[in-house]
Amino acid sequence: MTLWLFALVEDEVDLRRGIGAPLELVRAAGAFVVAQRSAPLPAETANLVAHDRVIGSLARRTAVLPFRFGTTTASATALRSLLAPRKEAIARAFDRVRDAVQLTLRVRGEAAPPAAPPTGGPGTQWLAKRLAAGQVPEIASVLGATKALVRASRAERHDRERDLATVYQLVARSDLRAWRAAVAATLPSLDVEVAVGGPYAPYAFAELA
Amino acid sequence: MSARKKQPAPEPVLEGIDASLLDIVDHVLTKGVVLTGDLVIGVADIDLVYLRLSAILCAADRVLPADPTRRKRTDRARVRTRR
Repeated sequence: MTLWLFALVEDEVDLRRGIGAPLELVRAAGAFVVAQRSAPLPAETANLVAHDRVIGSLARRTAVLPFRFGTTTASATALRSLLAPRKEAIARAFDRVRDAVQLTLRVRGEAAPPAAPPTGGPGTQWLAKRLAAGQVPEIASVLGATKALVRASRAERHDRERDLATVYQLVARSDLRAWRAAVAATLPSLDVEVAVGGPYAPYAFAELA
Repeated sequence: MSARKKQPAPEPVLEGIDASLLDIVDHVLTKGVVLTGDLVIGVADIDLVYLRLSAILCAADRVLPADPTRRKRTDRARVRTRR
């Protein structure tokens, strides 16, 4: 039976407490992987919610790097050999997310008028386009007000009808109250709707770069 | 009887998350650690993505070791052609 992976966790957590699923810890690459012996599960609502609950429960106790839903390995040995070369990247990722939570801003409304088209060759234009894809000028005042409180930020533009963009921000737990106050103070001045979600486990900041 | 001063409720950090399904689906299915290697990302019994350690950007016969059985078959075919 394959190992269904939930998350990398920094500390050895007691899995018998408060999760309610038969999980196991696999020590690997200086961290621990929370896993379950299970056949692959369908991506149904109940399974997605259950997966998210396990991650949330772990995130309350230690730093977590969630695995994407559906990630499995053949065995604990295979998992260790996969993670061993990534030990330093895992340590860097834990440094990034430790004692922090993710807040998600979903932006809807009318897109800001496009900036002047970039001049220069096709390479310059391509780079300018890539830069614009990570910017959300519609909520510039919110981003400016929270900048000092944000450990890392990631924006994805969608530009699908009124669904403009999603911004993920990584904020230290100790700054959460100040972050909320800064967002609440700037939201009313916006011309777009912003749905604030979180705090969540740091899903968007779990890459092992 | 002295009135007990009411303590402010602690700020919830991760407890009691009322995550919308949209956020859950977004986070669980499109974010998180992706390992490249012999990992299969799939749902149910269907493997959706099979990731190998290396991306092969050239013809397979340039990077894979020669297959001896294939060679034998080719030799046999040549012999047959000669006959």
